[in-house]
Amino acid sequence: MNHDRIEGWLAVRVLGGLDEADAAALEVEMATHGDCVECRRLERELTEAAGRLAFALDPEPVDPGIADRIVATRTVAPVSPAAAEVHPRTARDEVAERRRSRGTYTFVGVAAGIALVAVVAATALRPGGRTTGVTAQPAQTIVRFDGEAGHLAMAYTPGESGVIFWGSDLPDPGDDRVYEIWMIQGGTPVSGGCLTPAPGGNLAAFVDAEVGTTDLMAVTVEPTDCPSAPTGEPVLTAPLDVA
Amino acid sequence: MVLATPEPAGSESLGTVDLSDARDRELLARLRGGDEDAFRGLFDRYAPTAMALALRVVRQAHLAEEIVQEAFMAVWKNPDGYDGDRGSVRAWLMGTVHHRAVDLVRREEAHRRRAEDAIPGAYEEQVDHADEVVEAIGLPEERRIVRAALAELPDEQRQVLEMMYFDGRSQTQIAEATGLPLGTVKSRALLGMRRMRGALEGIER
Repeated sequence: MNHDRIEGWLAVRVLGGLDEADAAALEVEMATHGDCVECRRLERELTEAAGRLAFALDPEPVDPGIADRIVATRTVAPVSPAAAEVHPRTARDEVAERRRSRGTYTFVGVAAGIALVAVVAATALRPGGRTTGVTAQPAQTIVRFDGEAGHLAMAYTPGESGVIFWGSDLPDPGDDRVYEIWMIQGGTPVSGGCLTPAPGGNLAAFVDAEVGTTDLMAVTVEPTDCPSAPTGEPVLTAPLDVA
Repeated sequence: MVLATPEPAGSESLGTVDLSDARDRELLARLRGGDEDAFRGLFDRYAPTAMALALRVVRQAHLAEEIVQEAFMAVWKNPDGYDGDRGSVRAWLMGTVHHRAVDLVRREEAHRRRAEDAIPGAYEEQVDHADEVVEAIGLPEERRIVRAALAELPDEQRQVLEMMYFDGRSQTQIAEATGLPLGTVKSRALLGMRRMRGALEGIER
């Protein structure tokens, strides 16, 4: 992909105009293109111009209590599922609740291992599955993770080793914590490695693993020693079509 | 749809913008040290614009407010998320808000499509078609610069930028709505952004 073409894609992306499949395809193309000074310059300048478009709008009044509530979170950190329930509802919460009401999510505050199995069961029971895969190149499959912890997608070639992960808006997993990727087959999670997003929540990584007959990908937040079994609830999941 | 009344951009604009970003970076530096006043300074300065942007895209006040809260919560919890090499603080903030708003709109649309597949017309009365008219009086410098830059775009480029950025529509949706080939939508977006980039940052293309 040459820089004119990259610039065209980036211009649409910074405006929010890429469809999901296009965005995923661009990420793969960019990963293939490799890191380059020109690409970073184009992205920086286009992102800057797009961000400033917001100032064409007249400001709207904002509830000043929002700032108070945000500042107050420093001293009221959630330490348990019960505490988490008192958090202000967010837009993502609403979306998640709708999903739950449709029976597509069964995340509950139980032990991690049980939760992983529950997700497998819920997915298997749902007709059609939730995989949003597109073909970027011949024989290459892209799958988008679903969840409430930022955006994550993966690309792989079925039957071959090697998976590319890329993400954005991934929350900081916290001090001494990382994201761990799990490949779950028949309810048994196998670690696919641990990843830490860059400041800002962006992530791009190559993992030397084979998806094989995995029927569900999941991501949990784990200690940096990258345990061999999950200790936390899944924050992102991606069912795979394993026809 | 016209968002802005054309106004000439002043030659002093870039200096003003640079000073503004320097102030923002200083606030972020203090915020990294846990300075609440610094956070409130950023919030007071940018939350109203963030709210305007979120409201414009999602068109529902309570959702827009939640997006603003989420975005500023992320700033509060992780001020290191800002990378000074990648642009101004305000562009980063608005990019964060815009990304969340568009993401929500796309999810809502997917939900609506599924609902309409099940019950045709179920959502028709809930769509807010209210348009916004932006007055161009008493504007801070930044608004004047951006509006002038937008106003100088050819109509067809401005239309694509507005539909994409302010209405949260994808390039495919715009092609369908306007009847333009997808390639034309892409090229207008690119040409429009090149002009905006040049006008806002003094970059000659």
